[in-house]
Amino acid sequence: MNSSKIIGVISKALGQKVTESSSIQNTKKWDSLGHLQILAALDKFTKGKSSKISELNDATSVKTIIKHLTK
Amino acid sequence: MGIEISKPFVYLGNKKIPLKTILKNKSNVIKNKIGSKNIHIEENKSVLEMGVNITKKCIKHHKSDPKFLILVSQGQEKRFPSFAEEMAYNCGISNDCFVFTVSSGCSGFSQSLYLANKLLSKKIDQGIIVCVEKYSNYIRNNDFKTKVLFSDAASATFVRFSKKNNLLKSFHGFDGQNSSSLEVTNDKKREFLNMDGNKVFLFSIKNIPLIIKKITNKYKDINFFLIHPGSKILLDTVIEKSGINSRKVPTSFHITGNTVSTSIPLLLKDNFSKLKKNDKILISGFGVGLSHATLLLRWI
Repeated sequence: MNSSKIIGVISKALGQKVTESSSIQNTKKWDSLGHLQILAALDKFTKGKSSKISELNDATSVKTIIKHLTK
Repeated sequence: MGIEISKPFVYLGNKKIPLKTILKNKSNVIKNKIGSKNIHIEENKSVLEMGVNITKKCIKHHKSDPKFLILVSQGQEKRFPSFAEEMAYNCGISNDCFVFTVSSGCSGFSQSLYLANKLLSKKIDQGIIVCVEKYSNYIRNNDFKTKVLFSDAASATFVRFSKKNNLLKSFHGFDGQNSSSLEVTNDKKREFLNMDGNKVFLFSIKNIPLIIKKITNKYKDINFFLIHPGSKILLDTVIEKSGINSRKVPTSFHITGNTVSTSIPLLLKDNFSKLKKNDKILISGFGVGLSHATLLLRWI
């Protein structure tokens, strides 16, 4: 699972281009709905593996999401 | 042995609130996340009165006394006793009726159907499941994220014994580690509802599609999936992950928001005329606990 693919999944889920430095603070479409859309998209992308990673609940930056998905 | 389910009676809170008045300029959130354009809040009746009102209507319609009454509620105004007995008394139910309470939320109706199926026999041949919840009592005025999801509601569903075993499958489960992600706590003498929506979301999309897939792998011809419509984004994700046809999944978003334990009775009531004898109906509730309960029934 590489970072650029994860960034692509997050961008598609939000309908807005994100980078590794994007977070809930600096991304317009990343609100509570956006976060659920990200969780749903990551779940689909990882075939259910991401919904077992509870830390993703509070992972509100691209960097943190990548960290939890690639460790 | 089996269970025959009658058309539920449903009561929605008396005040209809359009969500656009709360979530100004957030039509995207209303459409894609919540699903419903309105919620219903009960301003006049207590939970007891809501329960009495709907139970009386149901009993009057069926013209016979239930042998058991299962109250599904967490919203009682006293720590104890539960208001089940007081409600039964106020409804004029015979005092030899087996009355008890299931303290559960969105899983409560499915759990109670399972219990009712175990209770029903030739002798104990009919009962009633009453679901009452008034979450508006516990939601902070400034907690808009939670306020826009839940509606106050009550329902009463008469069930009867059937000689045919029609409960084809049942699955139950819980996650006690994340119980606090949907809870009511005390704060300066008042009780408030706290919800970590992301945790409830992950719990649901992790468990429910797995169970639905287990069932659909064996039973290919399920006619309806009555899945708790907690929110649109949650229901959409469960449908997609389960690989089921969304046309077989009715929702109640055109009526109101998340009615907690009444959500499945509301779906049943709204779609009752479409359910035909021998149809296979999947019923799935999930939420507070965290808990989930899924049943597959052959319709009688």
